[in-house]
Amino acid sequence: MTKTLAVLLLAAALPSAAAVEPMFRGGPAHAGVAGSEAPREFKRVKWAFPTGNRVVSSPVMNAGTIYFGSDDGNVYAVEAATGRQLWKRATKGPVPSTPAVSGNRVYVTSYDGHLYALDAKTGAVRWKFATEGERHFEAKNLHGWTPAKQTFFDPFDVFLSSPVVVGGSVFFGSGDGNLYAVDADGGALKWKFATKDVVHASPAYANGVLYVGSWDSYFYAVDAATGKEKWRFHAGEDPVTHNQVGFQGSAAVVDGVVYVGCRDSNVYALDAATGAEKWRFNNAGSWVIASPAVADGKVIFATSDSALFHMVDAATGKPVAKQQSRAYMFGSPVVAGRIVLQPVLNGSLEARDLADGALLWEFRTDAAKANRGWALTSEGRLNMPLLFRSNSGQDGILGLDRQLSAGGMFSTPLVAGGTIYVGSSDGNLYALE
Amino acid sequence: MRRIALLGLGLAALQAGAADFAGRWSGMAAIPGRELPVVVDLARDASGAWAGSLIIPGIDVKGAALHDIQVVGDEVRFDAGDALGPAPYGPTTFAARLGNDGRLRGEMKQAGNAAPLTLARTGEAQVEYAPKSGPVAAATEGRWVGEFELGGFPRKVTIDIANRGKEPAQVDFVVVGKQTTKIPVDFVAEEDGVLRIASQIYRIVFEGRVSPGRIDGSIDVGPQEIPLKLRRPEKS
Repeated sequence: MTKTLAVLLLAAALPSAAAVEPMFRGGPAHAGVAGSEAPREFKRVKWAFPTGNRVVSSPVMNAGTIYFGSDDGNVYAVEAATGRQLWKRATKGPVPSTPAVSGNRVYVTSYDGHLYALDAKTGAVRWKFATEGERHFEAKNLHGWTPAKQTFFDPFDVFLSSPVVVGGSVFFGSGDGNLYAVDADGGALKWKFATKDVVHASPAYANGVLYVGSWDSYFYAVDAATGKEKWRFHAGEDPVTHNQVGFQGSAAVVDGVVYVGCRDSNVYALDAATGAEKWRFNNAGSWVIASPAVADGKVIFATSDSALFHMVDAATGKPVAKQQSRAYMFGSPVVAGRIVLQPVLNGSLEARDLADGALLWEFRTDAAKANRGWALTSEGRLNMPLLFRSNSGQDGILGLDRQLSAGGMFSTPLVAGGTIYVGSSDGNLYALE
Repeated sequence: MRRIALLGLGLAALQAGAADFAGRWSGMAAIPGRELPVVVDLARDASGAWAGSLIIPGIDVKGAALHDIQVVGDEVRFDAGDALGPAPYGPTTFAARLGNDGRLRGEMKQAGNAAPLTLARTGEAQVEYAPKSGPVAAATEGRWVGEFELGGFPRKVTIDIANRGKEPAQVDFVVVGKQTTKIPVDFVAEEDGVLRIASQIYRIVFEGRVSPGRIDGSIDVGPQEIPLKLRRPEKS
């Protein structure tokens, strides 16, 4: 009786973890809430699954199998219990997107410009849909890099749009600027919605509407059935260096409100029905790439340049708690019971208390510990003078590569059965407990 | 007895003079996963004080001035200031001991990390001396004003310059945009009619050609180079 009561009380204390689905951010609304409590203490690496390149993709799980992509161009299926490879399927480009599993199909995008539908058991290609072609965000004078007249691709545009599957349709964005709706069964195009720049965020879905931002500085609400625009919201622009513009991260939609971070350094709360701004939280020039998690009446998000972990009141946007991390954060927080897991680009995964964000424990990759090329300071911060040495665009691109030698984590953690699964730019998918 | 006295004198002379560190020293700092090439030039100036500069090929360090050079016996220590980043990354420090084989062995520290350092003398010192601040032409003294635009917002600039004899000129550099910012100036010099004022910590540099009543130049704000023309303020 006491045990039953304790279980009931614990369940009541946990944020809603219902209906976690095997797709990016735990379901179409992208709330970022896991279906399982994360361990309050870190014990060990259960297994590490090596791939041929960095793992930006976030793992998802269905029926005991973990699915994820790697920048080595493959999609992987791995046995969750053992880390044993079940199958891999090659695409013709990196796969920095998160698969969605529906029925016996795995849907995933690749930098080869295709949406793939794979057999969940075998990895066989059931069909693939060609977009108008992938590309990174690019601009002249990007980030103020020299030469100013040169068009540079943005190496920090690391993610591809992760597909969302709802009601027989697969929805995803593309570097060609379109938001697509494709028939989940046969791969036929249902509609496409054009924006004016790269769409690498994953569309969030709620009540028949898709919500997604583009690098064209607009955030869109689109009717999922017809592809017609319902409203659009204009965020900040930066016509000079193109640094403070664009929606790179994905939105969360909870209780009729859309929460989304932007490179213009704001986190916005928008009315899902009208697009009206309810509040904004400014981060003083720091990008907000990570997708917010929404739980416990709080919006939880992390920043890039300022390396801050924030909790704000979901209704008002007023600060609830703030914690200083040690490096840029592009990976998205996940609420797993009373714990928030936050990936960091210094090669660590932080476990924080849902109440106030206090650090509970930290997992560091071997690459972070090795600190090759002194990518990190002795305190585990990014060693900026050795990473980004000059203002040339070439150095900016190489600088990110140097930074990622520390095993930076872009991947959103998956928590299932008390085990944490997360990818690292050291090329591994880790199972932690 | 005389022999002992001579030996004693020789030892004292060696201690007083310490080892000779003058020259170009080339070698490696063994940071994890990478051998970082390091070139150090050390020389005494006319007054006998040590001066030096640092080159680290591949990471944009060329001729960085060495500071606080200390030679004690067979040990040498110095730092390279902000060459590999300001605090909390810097200063980058070096400490090494001269071995019997003529090599310097020691440690390089940056951002709290430490790596073994090995250097061998490879030639004569080629110390690069950093340009020094100085006075400006008399006609350049006084107040200058101008405007530029950054990120879509106008900024007003006021620069007051005053000579202090042979010392570097005093410069007050104020930018008024959304807020008023007093820029800490750490370099000022005028050469061949070109005035240069810099703030390393703010990554701001103004450089312009001086002519009667105007200075035509540009201001670098981080990566941005923006035209900036200065003029004398109108008398009220």
